[in-house]
Formats: sequence, structure tokens, C-alpha cells
Amino acid sequence: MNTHDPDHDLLARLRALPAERSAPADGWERLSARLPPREPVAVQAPVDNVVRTRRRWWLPVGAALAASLALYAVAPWRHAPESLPAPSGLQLQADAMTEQYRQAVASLPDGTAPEWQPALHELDRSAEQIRAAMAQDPRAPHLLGQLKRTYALRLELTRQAAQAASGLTT
Amino acid sequence: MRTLSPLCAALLLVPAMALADTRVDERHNVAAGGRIELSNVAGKVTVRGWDRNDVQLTGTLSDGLQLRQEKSANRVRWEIEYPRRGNNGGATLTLNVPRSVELLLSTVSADQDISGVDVRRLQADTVSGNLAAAGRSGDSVLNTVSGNVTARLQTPRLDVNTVSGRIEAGGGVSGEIGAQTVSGRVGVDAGRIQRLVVETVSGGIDLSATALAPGGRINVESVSASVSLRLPRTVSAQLSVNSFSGSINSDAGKVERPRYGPGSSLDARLGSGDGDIRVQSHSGSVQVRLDR
Amino acid sequence: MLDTTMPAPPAANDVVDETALVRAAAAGDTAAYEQLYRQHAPRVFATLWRLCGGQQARAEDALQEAFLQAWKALPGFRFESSLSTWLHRLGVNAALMELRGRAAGHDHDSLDDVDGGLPEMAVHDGCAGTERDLERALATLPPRARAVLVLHDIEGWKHHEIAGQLQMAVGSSKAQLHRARGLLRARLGDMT
Repeated sequence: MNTHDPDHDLLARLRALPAERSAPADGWERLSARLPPREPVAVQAPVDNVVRTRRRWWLPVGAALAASLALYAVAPWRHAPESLPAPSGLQLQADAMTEQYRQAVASLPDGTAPEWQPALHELDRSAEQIRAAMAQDPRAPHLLGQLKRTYALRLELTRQAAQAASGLTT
Repeated sequence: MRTLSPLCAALLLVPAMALADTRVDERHNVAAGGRIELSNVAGKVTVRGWDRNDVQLTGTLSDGLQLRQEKSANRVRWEIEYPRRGNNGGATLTLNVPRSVELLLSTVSADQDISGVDVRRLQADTVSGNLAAAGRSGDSVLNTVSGNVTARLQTPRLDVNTVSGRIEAGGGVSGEIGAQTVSGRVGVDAGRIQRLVVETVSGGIDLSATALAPGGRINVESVSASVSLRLPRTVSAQLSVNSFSGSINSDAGKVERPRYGPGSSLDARLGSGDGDIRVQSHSGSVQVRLDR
Repeated sequence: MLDTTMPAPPAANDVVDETALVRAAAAGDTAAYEQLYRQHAPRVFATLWRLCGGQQARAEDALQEAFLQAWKALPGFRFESSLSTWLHRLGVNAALMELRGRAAGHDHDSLDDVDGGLPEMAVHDGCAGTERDLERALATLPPRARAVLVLHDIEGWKHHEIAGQLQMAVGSSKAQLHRARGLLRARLGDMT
């Protein structure tokens, strides 16, 4: 029973570390100032560049989109206890993301600039494909990430196409 | 200075298109470290490197287009303005650029043909134009929406993105490479890589590298696209492949399936497991070959 | 210098109350959300602080980001997991995004850094508990190894979950854990 496991003591110490740590005193104040009202997403000028991973979204993503989509953190689904059934947290996030995306698109002017059209259709098709894949495999975080990327591209291209159609340079 | 092409007298004898074409011939002094930007919608953009300390822009603007110019010390930005939409002619432009500059090109439908350059940084964006880039660059970013990209670049840092265009990158790309596509095929033939990150929905992926640096990482995510990864037999990395319904074929490791439910995975240690290779697919097949 | 860790407070809210708070916050009630924040932030912050190698500012940013995201996603939350688990997960993701995304304007993944956050370990002073030593030693680990150890040994995640979150092979997660534990033991040994 007692092979001295060098990790045993270390693990015990790690598990004994405090589970909590005081957050900074002005945390709520700062946070509450940033909480957006509960409204359909409106397109606004970028305030905070939420797109941190530059390499993910090469197009300068519109702020509303970045804000609404960045929030769908791709986090691993913890091994669910056996008692819980599996309506997937990821699926919920995908549903909410789709809704946010629809609202964001609706708030943009109609773009008909032809150079963008094939890609817009392609992206819509791809979003459908990803959602179908998620229905087959609801626990795959990478699919949610792909959906996020696809919506982000779709929205940004819609914005560009709209600008081009109205004669403004992008 | 702009000069009007002296064709007025031939108005009645030649197609109207030739009438109001404007010639462009601009120069600006830009030394190493400087920045050159060119923005155009339609037509064609050709870029060549040269040994001078100037950048030169020459070409023709078709009817109604105008050149807008912003210059400052060691920087220039040229933009072709399209005052009314529906102009078909576009601008045919040639840019000669010095070494070690930062070069930013943007077009909508115009193709871009870049070659013989030796720059500090290259960023080329297009919507439906095709993009060909050859030469040397310290840092390269190539973006298209539906146009194709062919890059034969010596560059230690490459970020290439498309929705439906076809991407082929090789000829000296190495180091840090990122490629993102939706439905366009991507082929990368790299040298020694530190980090290779590829995302695709349905565009097939073909990757090959001559070496993976110690501690280097490869990460590929696909929904339905097939993925092929080719590395040397001597590669040293932890390998992890997961697919929900696609097949997995690998020169190393054993494909495993859970007792119940779908999905297959493969986890193997290659060599001493220095690096990290992870491939994730939903329905696309994955092939790993270790014979580069 | 006061140590800012604290023991877990007694359970302040009934599960029933918390559901009501979530519903209210989801409907836009910021006072309700403040309650949720105050209840859950300390638990989340402990993990974020460790993931960020004790770098207070980054941990605070990640905490803010996580709760901002949680506010936006709250209308869709259906209690498949506990709120605490959900918030914690958002927090971990925010911390890792923070580590991945920062650098002078350029794309730099500090998870690949060789060193941990604090360059110097303070001299072991007689008043410090072993807890503080351990926290400090943790902070000196390379970020990726540290993240794996924190998530596995403290937060109880499985390797396949960690591998997914950090986008690495499962084998790498195990290797990093082994490495982290070895380094940690060595650093702690140096401190006695």
C-alpha cells in the first residue's frame, strides 16, 4: 500500500490550495460599466478590439459581430455525470450564436456587390454543413469554433459587400 | 505628373474606351523600412522588386478613374478612386518597389502578380482577383475571398486566408504558417516549421514539411475536408488524430475506436515526442505519411 | 503584505435563489448579476490567477472578459451544468485566450514561452506558509506546462479535455503534466 509516490504529497498540497481568491475591489464597478443592454445586436464603431487572435479572423471584424461571437467560448465539455442527459451546452451556444448572427445580418444594409456573392452563398452553405455536423456530434468543441469563424467571415463580407455597393471604398 | 493620352483627335475613329484613359507615372523616395500602399478595384496590379530607393507606379487608368495620393517621409499610399460604380475598365498598374519595405496591396477583382520582391512585410488582399506572390518577405499575409493564391515565397511567417479560392504555398515557406479556408483547397509545401495551424470546413488540405522544429506544433481542424499530412520519418512529436466519422490512415500508431459510439482516434509518440501534432476532423478522412 | 487568498465562504445562496438570480440577470437585471458575480468571481479568479502565473493585471482582464461573456450568454443558459462550472469554464477559456493573444500588436502565443511569469522567486521568508511557496513556484513554470498542471491536478480536468482546450495532442498533455510536476518539485525543493 505504501510505495512512496513522489507525486502524492505534491498533489495533496496542490489540492489543498485555496479554492478562492479575492477579486479586485473595483471589479464589479468596471464590469457593470461594460455590460451591454439586452437588445438585438446593433452594429457600432469598434471600441475594444475583441479579436485577439489576429490569425483567426483576418478580416477586420465588425465590432458587434466580434463582440457577440467572441463570447461563445470554445470550452471542453466536462465529463458529464452519468445522471445528466445530453442536451449539449455546445449545441445551445451554437443556437444562441446563430440567432445573434441572424440579428447582426439583419441590421446591416443589403449588399449586392457581385464580387462577394459567391462567397456569401458558400459561407451560408458551410454554416449549414457545420450545424449538421454538430447535430451528429454535439460534443465536439472544434465544430463550434468553426461555426464561429464561418459566421464571423460571413458577417464581415456582408459588411464589405454593402460598403462596396454603396460606392464607399472598403 | 499625370499626362493625358493624346487621343482626342481620334475620337471618331477608335472605341470610346481609349478616349479618356489616363496614364500614371509617379515616383516617391522610399528607403528600407518605409511603407508602400496601393489600393485598386479592377484591372490588374503587377509588382516587381528593384534595387533603387524609390517606388514607382506606372500604368493606365480607364475612363473616369482618378489616382489619389498621400505621401509623407518614407511612406506613400496610392488609391485608385472609382467615382461611379459600374466602371468596367479598371486600372492596369505596375509597381516597382525597393528592398526591405512594407508593402500593402488591396484589390477587389484585379489580379495581383508580385514577383522578384525582397520585402520586410507583404500584405496582399483581394476579393475575387487571383494572387501570385513570389520572392522574399519577412512576414507575409495573403487574403482572398474567392480568388486563388499561388505563393512561392521565402518567408518565415505566412498567414493565408480564403473562403473558396485555391491556395498553393511553397518555395521556401517555413517557420510560422497559418492557413484558413472554408471550401477552397489548400496545399502547403513547407520547409522547417515551428507552428502550422490550418482550419477548413470542406476545402481539402494537403500539407507537407521537411522538418518540425523541436517543440514545434501542427494543428489541423476540418469538418468534412480530407486532410493529408506528410512529414519526414524522423519527425519527433506527440501525434493525436481524432475523427468522428472519417477514416484515419497513418504510418505510425494504431487507430482506436471506443467500445460504444462513433469516432476513431489515434495517439502515438513519434521519435522522442518533442513536438505536438493534432488533427481533428468531423467527417473528413485523415492521412498521415512519414516518408517526406 | 496581506495574502489575498481566502477560505471558501459558507454557502450564501440556495440553489433556488441562484436560479432566480440567473433568470433575472438574463432578463437584464444588473443587480441580480452583481450578486452572481460576487458569489462566483472569487472561485473563478483563483484559477485564472494561477493560469496567468500570478500576473494580477492579466488575471483581472481575463476575469472581466469571462463575466462579460457570461452576461451575454446567460439568456441561453439552461442549467445542464452548474452555473459555477459554466462560469469557471468561461474563465479558463478567457485566461487562455489572454495568454494566447497578447503581445505588441503581433500574434504571439505566450503559452509557448519558456519561462513563467515571475523572473525571481522571493527569498523564502519565515512568515510565508507553504501555500504561498507553492503558488509562487507555480508561477515560475512555463505557461503551457503550468496550465496543464493547474487544470489537471487542481481543477480535475481530464487529459482529453485539456488537450482540446489547449489544442494539443493528448500525449503532449500527459508529457506536459509530467514535466510540470517535476519542475514544481524541483522549485519547491530549492525553496527549503
